[in-house]
Amino acid sequence: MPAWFTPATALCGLMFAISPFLIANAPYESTMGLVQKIFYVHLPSAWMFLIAAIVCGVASIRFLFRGDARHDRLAWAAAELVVLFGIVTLVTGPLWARKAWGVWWQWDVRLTASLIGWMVSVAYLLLRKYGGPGSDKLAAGLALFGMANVPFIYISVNYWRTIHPTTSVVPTLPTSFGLPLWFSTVMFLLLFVLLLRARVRLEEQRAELDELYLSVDG
Amino acid sequence: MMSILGVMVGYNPGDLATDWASTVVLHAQQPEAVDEFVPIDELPPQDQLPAAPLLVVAYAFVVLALFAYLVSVARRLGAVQRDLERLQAELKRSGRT
Amino acid sequence: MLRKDLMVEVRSLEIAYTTLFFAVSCVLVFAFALVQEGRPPADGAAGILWIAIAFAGTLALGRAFERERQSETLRALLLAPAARPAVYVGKLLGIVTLLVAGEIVLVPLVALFFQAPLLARPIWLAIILVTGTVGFAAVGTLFAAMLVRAQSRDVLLPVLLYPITVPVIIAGVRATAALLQPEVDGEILRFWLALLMCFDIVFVTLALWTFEPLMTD
Repeated sequence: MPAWFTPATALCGLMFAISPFLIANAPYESTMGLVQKIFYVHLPSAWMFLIAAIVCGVASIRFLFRGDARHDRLAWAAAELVVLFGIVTLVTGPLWARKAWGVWWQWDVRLTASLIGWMVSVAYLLLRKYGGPGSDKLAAGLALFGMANVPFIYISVNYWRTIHPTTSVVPTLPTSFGLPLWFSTVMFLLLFVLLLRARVRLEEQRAELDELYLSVDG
Repeated sequence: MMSILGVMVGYNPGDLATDWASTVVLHAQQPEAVDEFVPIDELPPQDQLPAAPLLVVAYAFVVLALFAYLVSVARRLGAVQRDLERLQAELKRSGRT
Repeated sequence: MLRKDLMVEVRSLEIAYTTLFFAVSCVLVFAFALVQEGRPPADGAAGILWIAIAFAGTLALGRAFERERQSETLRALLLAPAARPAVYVGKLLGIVTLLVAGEIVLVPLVALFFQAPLLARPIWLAIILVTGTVGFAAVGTLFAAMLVRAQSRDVLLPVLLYPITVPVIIAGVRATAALLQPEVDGEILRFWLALLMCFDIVFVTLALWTFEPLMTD
């Protein structure tokens, strides 16, 4: 593991310890009250969900067209993080929605497209696990199509009628809300990078193991 | 099956609330009809949900999910690490043939 | 030589007949399950039509490439470098033709069982069906081709295909449903059609771009 990994982990842990205080001290939102505080984990998870999908897609393109296994390892790691942050987003969202909107779920564009994007990442993992030889390239092709979904998810709230807040909400947040949000986002981003690096390490070790097996057999 | 039809039929860029037969399908699935955004303090008291359980469950879920993934990666890494060490020890013993 | 070509032709008719029969059975199952006392669910026709197309399409895709796998013709075709995009386009057109032929049978059937005026505006319906089918088949042909040599390919094709093509199906259903209204809202119809065409362009472009690296070892 690289030199920055352990100090970064310590920093991330520290941020996790501090965050409850920042979140608790943030003011109550006028219409939604206490439940709005789910926002401070829901929004960063959603961003990590989209970022992971983009990382997976870009790494897949590079793997498809250059054939370097490093990109494939990164793509696989990123896909697992899409599933992880996707689950977190798709669970925290409805928990918030139940109170704020009165319903658990809406079949609007953003939620539907997000659910579909998440399913694509699950399909990616199934393919890697059960597809047999050659499934690395196939999964890369799938990830490409999945990544095309991402901008659609993001801008959909601005063009379709929906209860979900639009993208103009975050930039216009007052500082008292903005500070815990950005703190939380940086924390999630750091966590994302750490998890990605650890997962890539797993792939690297597996590759080393495979090579060793091959040299034994050969 | 009705929920699938709800997907198909309720998905509309137009006015969600006044869409034709789909509102029937949507209403059938949901605990209470929501025609527009109603601020929570304007609801009658018996409709107000306690927020604290939702908040706690949400944060608990986040922590658990992240922790579970961390454990999963750590375990897989440990297993591969063990295999690597075992294989390397074998190779050393057999003189790196 | 002639006999071999004839065998190929008969084989592809076999796919057409079995796919069509499957699609009809699908519609029948929906009819038995959903039509109560002669009353079908309101606005069910659009959804059921597209579900039948999606299921039948997946089946046809799996079968169409089964033949390639067994005779290794795909590998032989791919050895000619200039032909690779042509291989994809050829397969795509074949699948689209097959599906459209199936739809010609399915539409009156669904219209009958679900009492929907599907045939009231046939030109618009044809446009919707063709653009939707092209979108579905564009992704399907690519995935089916790349899965030819994979394990568990029969299960994996729907697993990979449906999440990507659900937006196409949704758009197709919404466009068809808009067409079934007594007073067609032109704006909504055009919107969904435009979205379908966008999907077609994006998917076909992506597929053409990635076909070669995906099919070469």
